[in-house]
Amino acid sequence: MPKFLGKTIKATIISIIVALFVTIAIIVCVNIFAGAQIEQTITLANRVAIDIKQETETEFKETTINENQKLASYPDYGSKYATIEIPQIGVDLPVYFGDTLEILKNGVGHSSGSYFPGEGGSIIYMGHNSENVFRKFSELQVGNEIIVKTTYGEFKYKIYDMQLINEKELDKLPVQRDKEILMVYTCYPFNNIGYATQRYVVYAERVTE
Amino acid sequence: MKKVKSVFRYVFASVLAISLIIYFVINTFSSTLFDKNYVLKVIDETGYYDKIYGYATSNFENYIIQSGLDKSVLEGIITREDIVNDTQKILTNIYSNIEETVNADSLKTKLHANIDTATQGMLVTEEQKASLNAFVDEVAKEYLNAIAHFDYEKEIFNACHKFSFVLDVTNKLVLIFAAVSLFGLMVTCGKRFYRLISFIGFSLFTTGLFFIIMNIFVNTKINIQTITILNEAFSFVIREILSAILGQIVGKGLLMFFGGFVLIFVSNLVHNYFKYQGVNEDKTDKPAYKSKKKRIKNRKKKDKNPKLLAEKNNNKITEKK
Repeated sequence: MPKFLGKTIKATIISIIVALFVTIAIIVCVNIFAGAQIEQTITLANRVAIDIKQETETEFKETTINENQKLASYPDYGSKYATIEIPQIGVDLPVYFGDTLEILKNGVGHSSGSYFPGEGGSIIYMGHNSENVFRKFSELQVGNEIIVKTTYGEFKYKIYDMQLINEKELDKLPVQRDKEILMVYTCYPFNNIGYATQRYVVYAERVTE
Repeated sequence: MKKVKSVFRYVFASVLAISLIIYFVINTFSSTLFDKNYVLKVIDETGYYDKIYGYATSNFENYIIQSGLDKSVLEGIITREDIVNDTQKILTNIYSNIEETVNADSLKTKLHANIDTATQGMLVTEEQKASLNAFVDEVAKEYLNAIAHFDYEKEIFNACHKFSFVLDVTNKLVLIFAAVSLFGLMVTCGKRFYRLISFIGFSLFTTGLFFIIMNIFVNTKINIQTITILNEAFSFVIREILSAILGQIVGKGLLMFFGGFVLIFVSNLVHNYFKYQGVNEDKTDKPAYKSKKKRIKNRKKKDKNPKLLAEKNNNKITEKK
């Protein structure tokens, strides 16, 4: 190798090493002066980074529930994980995890803040009051059965109460972990014209065989 | 003195690199996120208007399901043109200090007219009238949500305006710093043009390296493709803009990284080639020949050295022979 080429390579490497040190120094300075703001921005960006399943028809894969009443895995937001059957009024509908308007178009929605069947806490389901969903809720009576068939088991509930609440009375739909209660609600009046501001809630407790 | 000069050269080159980093970051943001025309272009290219039209009409249907009204009442209450006009008004509110009113009055009027036609001949009670008004309000609210209309657009404009002003001032300051550091490099490098080129290459290389590291850092910390704000169409626009910003930064970074490397290498190559070929124009690299006084001093030094003296004499004898 010619001597001048060796010298050139040596000089170039020295320049690159110095450039690397200068870059590191700049990064350290940026971290010192704007580290907190950068961290805040990253946290904010990650908070709004949600991987929502666009396809609501995706089904939740098999899972199990352990002795501590915890699911081994949870369904993705927007995926179908169960069916709800109310034989008394001929309801047999798919249940999706989530409560967006888009989900409610396909069937029954599961409020993401509530427990799953079998976990021992409050479960909140909702659906439209259209004819093919919960229009016949007024025909339900105390003692009627609701069956929820999930990918990890079948759960039966018995209706013990029905209430008419205002759309903003969220305290009437309490989420607690002491007792497994299924709360299913729809808009009221059933034959309403316009925007329904009331909700018809059916309360059912788990029946263990 | 030589070492001090060398340190100064590196300091100037580093300041130039920092100035370039700030300049290109500001430039990228100014030409993307803070440019109304660019945002409008992205909105148009991503099919935002069609998507919003789809969402709005689809969401209206959810209110129809529980309203007891026929789906036909929604016909013609909004058009794609309404969405285009209202979106442009929102952007004008954000980017310019012109307050354009965005409301759903036209939608409300059309919906009321459709409902009146649908309920013609029916006995509508006062309670039902109130319920119908609430229905119209909810649909209007849904439309405003779909087109991403906020009540605090003015606040966003103020923040944008303030930020743009800061960017503008910083940009000018950075250009002054860049010019000063470039001048400093020219002075400290003197007539050695290869050295000036080498240090400019050093600045470009550092800037490029910083941008590449920054891109890797952002990509490992944030998944831009999952950022969700308001609705999918709006999120898609935001993702496109952020991806474009990162893309531009990494593109410029790679260009400067390789450009800088080439400048460093070529300037060193040219310098060393001429130096070792004996056509060295840079005599200043050999201080012993700088002046007559030093040349005499150097000769005296050689004469005092017995080994060098013997070698010199041998050479003279060989030449005579």
